[in-house]
Formats: sequence, structure tokens, C-alpha cells
Amino acid sequence: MIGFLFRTAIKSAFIQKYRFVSLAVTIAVASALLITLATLYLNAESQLALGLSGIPNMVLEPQKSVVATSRLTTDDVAALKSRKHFWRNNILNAAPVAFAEGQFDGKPVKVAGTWFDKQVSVDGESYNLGLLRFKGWEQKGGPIGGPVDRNAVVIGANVAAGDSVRLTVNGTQRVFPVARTLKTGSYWDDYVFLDLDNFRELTGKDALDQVLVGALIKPKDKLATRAELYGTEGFTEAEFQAWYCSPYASAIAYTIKETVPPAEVKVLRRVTEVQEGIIQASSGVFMALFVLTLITAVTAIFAGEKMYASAKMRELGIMAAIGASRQRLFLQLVTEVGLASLVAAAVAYLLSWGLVRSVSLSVFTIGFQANGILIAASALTPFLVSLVALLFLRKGLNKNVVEVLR
Amino acid sequence: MLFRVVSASIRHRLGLYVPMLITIIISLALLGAAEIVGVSFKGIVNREMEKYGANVILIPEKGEVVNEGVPVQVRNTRLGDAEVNLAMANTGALLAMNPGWLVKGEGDVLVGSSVAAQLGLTRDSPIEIDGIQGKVAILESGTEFDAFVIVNGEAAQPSMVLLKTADPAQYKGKNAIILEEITRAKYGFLESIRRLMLYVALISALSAIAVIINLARIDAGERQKEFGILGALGALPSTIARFILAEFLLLSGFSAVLGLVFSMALSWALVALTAKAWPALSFGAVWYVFGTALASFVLASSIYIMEFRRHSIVEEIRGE
Repeated sequence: MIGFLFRTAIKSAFIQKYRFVSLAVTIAVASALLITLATLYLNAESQLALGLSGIPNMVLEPQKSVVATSRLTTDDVAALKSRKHFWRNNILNAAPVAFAEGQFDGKPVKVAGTWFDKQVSVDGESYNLGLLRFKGWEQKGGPIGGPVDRNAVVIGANVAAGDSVRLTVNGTQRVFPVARTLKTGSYWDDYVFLDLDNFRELTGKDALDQVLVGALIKPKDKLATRAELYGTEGFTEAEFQAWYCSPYASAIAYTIKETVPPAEVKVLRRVTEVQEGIIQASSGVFMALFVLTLITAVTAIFAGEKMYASAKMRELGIMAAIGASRQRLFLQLVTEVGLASLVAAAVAYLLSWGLVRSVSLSVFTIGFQANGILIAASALTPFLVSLVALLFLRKGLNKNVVEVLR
Repeated sequence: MLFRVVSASIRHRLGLYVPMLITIIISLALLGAAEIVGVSFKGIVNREMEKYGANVILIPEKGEVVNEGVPVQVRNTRLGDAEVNLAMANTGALLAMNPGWLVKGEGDVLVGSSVAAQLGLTRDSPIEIDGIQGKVAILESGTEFDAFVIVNGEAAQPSMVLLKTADPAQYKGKNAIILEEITRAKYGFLESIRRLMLYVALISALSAIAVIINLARIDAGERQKEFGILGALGALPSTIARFILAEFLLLSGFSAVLGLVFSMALSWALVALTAKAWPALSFGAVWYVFGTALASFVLASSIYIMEFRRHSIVEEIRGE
């Protein structure tokens, strides 16, 4: 029976090849639209969030009390990416900073020792961390990730200097070539940055004053707002787990404090508030666009199948006239539409793979991969919609044979 | 007469045209909504940027009068055994200018979180500083103000003036710190959104055209008999082509208008309900929706016309 149905469906597809191909193309285009746009929406959200997180949004400072001040070291910077830190994967970059006063061209200048772009090994993994890894800051004189001479300096955009600077720090004068100019749009534009080892040689200062951290955060909700306003003391165990296991700025700050106890973690709220607001707004819009795309795709498939079934009424009438039952006619239609859906699923996969790749490369300069579950869902969509459409169209098969054949 | 024949034809074939029209209207709505959302994002991002707060810190020269922003006067004083920075400012205006700052407690003296942690002060506890008595509210700003105690008052000799301006560049060259660290990320974000929405609109438009052409292709064979009868009654091929074109122009006008209405309603729903902002007006959306509708239906009608020209009158009446 099944073999016969397939043979008849394939033969019918060959006889009415234009109509069959048109149905398959309609389903393929609608499915490709769904896969492509849904993949773009899903990945765009995280990609846009990453783009917004290219600047420091937290600062670690040594904890001060009336009696003592704690001490931050470069091990604490590495610890942020270690396994003992729960949100290590959300730490996009970290840079140690130590301050000093210096003189440049006879004028006082703010000097900071830092890592420019340092390869750090943590728990067997290698990371590049440092000032020049904050992708939201504009660099002149070389690309992000390009090599920087350790014996050179990076100057802030407000520091007027040529190819080199004669810097006096702690009574010692040295000439440093200028490797990059950094435009941060903040206080850092007034600084001259030295490699941390050179800074230590010049100043004899070992401890860090700050650690700048760029973290990927999730917009806050009621739970996170409660945590910020009243602390987590009033949380139930479940609420605490839910808060701790979500990358809210406050939760990440909390886990950093757990990992680096001597640090006071300051969330740069003027930055995080903007980041959260924009991410939240775009998430909502993308979700709504996804629903709209789904409706568009389903309607297109439904319309295609309705028109295909209507166009086949005459043949179905002939089959009914020679004794085919309603169930037999319905099965015939299901098989033909199923066959078209199968062809469409393959075409849709190839089409959306190409589209997703080219659009993501063009917009985000990174190639997105279509999500596996989404592809499976999109391949199933034509079949499911086909079945629903045909169930609706079933009553059409009750038409009088004579009427249909006329 | 042309209109009567065309509208009768559409009424007769309503069962088939309804799904086709629904498909194109929803596709056009997606296309228009993507364009409107892309344009509206600028307003949404600018609104969110307001949370950044003060973006210029002006350090006035001695005797200089600044008639804008929130002036802040800072001096050192003692709080218990510790030395702290005491800032005097209009705290209401300061907090209104910086909506991202978090204030814990109902107190009238804002104690920066670093100072509070250092001195062990808690929210709503009593405090007396420089003869001013009040209750503590903890300030978490993520700025230098976390190291300050701020009391409400007039800053007669301001040490700094906080400003929130759309044009911070005008303060370049003055004794001012300009904070625009997120501006570059903002423009990067807007550019990405604009390009993404453009691609969404383009893909939706292409998909709408492809779907309509294929739906027309499925249906075209069905109409051969009607065209054959019209031909047998003496209608010239050009007259039949005119009928088809008129029918599809009517359909494209109808679906473009509805598509535009739906795209406005959808973009309103998308932007107002999810991002809590008003969608921007976009003439681009009008052009895209009307252009795509016209292109889709002209191409669809040409499929019908080609199909009609491929068959003889006898074949068409037979429905072959």
C-alpha cells in the first residue's frame, strides 16, 4: 500500500512537475526564511551583547577598612578565569592597573602600569588579557590582538606625544617608543600606560590599585533588583540559586568577591545600566520578530498547500469516479505534499546555511552556525503544517464527483 | 467595465486568493516591521543612554560661574576617627541626572558604598557630619562618588559641575572630563542593528516574491479554461492580459495597504510592548512595502499571462 502510494505520488509529481516544483519551492522558501531569520535573531542577541561588553563594567579595588587595606596581585587577575570562579566564562577581559605620578615634557602626567595584551595560563587554558583587549576602546597605531612591544608605552588620546615619550617616574627618566594611542572616552584618556613589569622596575611598587573587568551580563529582573536593593539575605534557597546561576551584574560581582576575597568589587553602574537596557530591549524585539517570522512561514506553506490541493481537484475527482475512497484520496495528497516537504527541507537547509553565513559575516564579521534543534524544527515544520493544512482541506474532498469533473 | 469584470473574478476566486493574500500581507508586514524596528532602535538606544547619567565633569576656574548642571562642592572632613570627602550638592538633582545610581535606604545623607564599607555604616542608621544630622542612605554608583559622603545643600563654591549634554564635544579644550566610553559601542550596536534589519527586510521581500510567484505558478493552470472562454467570446490576448494585470494590480494595492497597516501595528506592538518605546515613522517602510507588493503581483500576473500564451483556445477550453 505504502509502496503504491509513493509510486503514484512520484508519478503525479512527474506529470505535474511545474506545479509540484512550485509547491516544493514555496515550502523551501518559507522554511529557509524561518531557519535563516530565527538563527540570526538567536545569535544576534548574544553577538550584540558581546559588542556592548567591550569596555570595563566592573572594577576591583583593594578592600579598605579603618585598620588596614588589603592587597591585590596579578594572581587575583588570573583567578577570575580559573575554575574556582563560577562565572569565569562571562569574564571577557581583565587588566591589572597600578598608578603613579610621572612627568612628561616637564608637565605632570598620570602613569599606569598594566598588561597590554598578556597571554595568561590558567588551569591549563591560555587566555589573552589586558588593556588592549577591551574591544570597545578605539586603538590607533595597530589592530586589536596585534603584537605590542613590552618596552613601549600606550598613551591615552588626551596625551599629546609624538613617536616617543621621555617619561620621568620616581626620579628615573626613560625614553619609551609609543606603540598605540588609546581612545576610551573616559579618565583613561589622560594616562600613559607602561607594561606592568617596566612600571614595577621604575616605581618599585608591587601591589595593584585596580583590576578592570569586562563581563558579559544579563539584564536584571525583579530578582536581581531585589538582590541589589536588599541583598541576598532574605532570599529562599531556590531564589538564591536562581540568582547565583544567572549572569546578572550583581551575581557576577558576588562570585568575583568569592574568588578574590581581598577585593572590593564595584559595578560601574553607568555602564551596566545602559548595557542591560539595550540588551533587554533588543531581546524583546528579536523574540517578537521570531514569532512574526514563524507566522509568515506557516501561512506561506498553508497557502501553497491549499492552492496545490485545489488545483488537483480534477484528478482527485477522476480517482473518486473510479472508486477511490476519501481516505485513499487524502493519503494520496498527504504523500505528495510529504514528498514536496522532503525535497523542500533539503533545499531549505542548503539555502539557509548559505544565507545565515553570508548575512552574519556581513553584519557581525563572524559566521553563525544554524542551531541544530532549529534545523530539525524547521525541517519538521513543513510536515506538521502540511498535515494540519490537509486536515482542513479534507472536507474539500467531499465535493460531488460530477461537479468536480465538470 | 474592466473594474466590474476584475472584481467579479476576484470574488469568484476568493477561496484561492485569500490564503495568497494572507501570505503576502504577513510577509509585507514582516518586511515593513523590520524596517520600522531598525529605524526605531536609534530612539530606544538613545533612551537607554540616558541612564549613563552625567557625561561631562567641568572643573570651574576660581570665580567662574557655571549656570548649568549640578554643582558639587567637595571638602575633607572627619567622620568619627576617619577622614572622608564631604560633598555638598542638590542630591535630588544629582540622583535625577544619574538614574543608574543605586540608593539603598530612605536616609537623607548619601554615603558612598566604599566609605560605608570602610566605616561599617549601614542604611538608615543615624549620622552626624560637620554638624549636619541625618540618616544614612548607601550610594552605589560605580564612580568616584562611592568614596564620598554627600549632603543636600547649596554648593556655593563648586569644585566640579556635573553635566548631561547631547554635545559633550563643546567642552573639549575646557577644564573638563568628558565621559563617552559607551558611545563607540552604541554606534557599533546601531550599525549592526541597521544592517541586520536591512537583511531581514531583504530576505522577507525576496521570500514574499518567491512565494507569490510559486503560488501563481500552482494556480495558473486552473485558469486556462476561463481564459479560453474569454478568447472564444472574442477577447483579444491583449485584453485578457489587461484583465490579468488589472486584477493583480488591484490585489497588490489591497495587500500593500493592508501590509502597511499591519506593519505599523506590528512594529508598534514590537517596539511599544517589548522595548517600551514609540516606533519611528519610516518612509522607507512605505516604499519597501508598496514596491515589494507591486513587484510580487506584476511577476505573478506575468506567470498567468505566459501560461495563457502557451496554450491554444481549444486546449484552454478543454483545460489541457
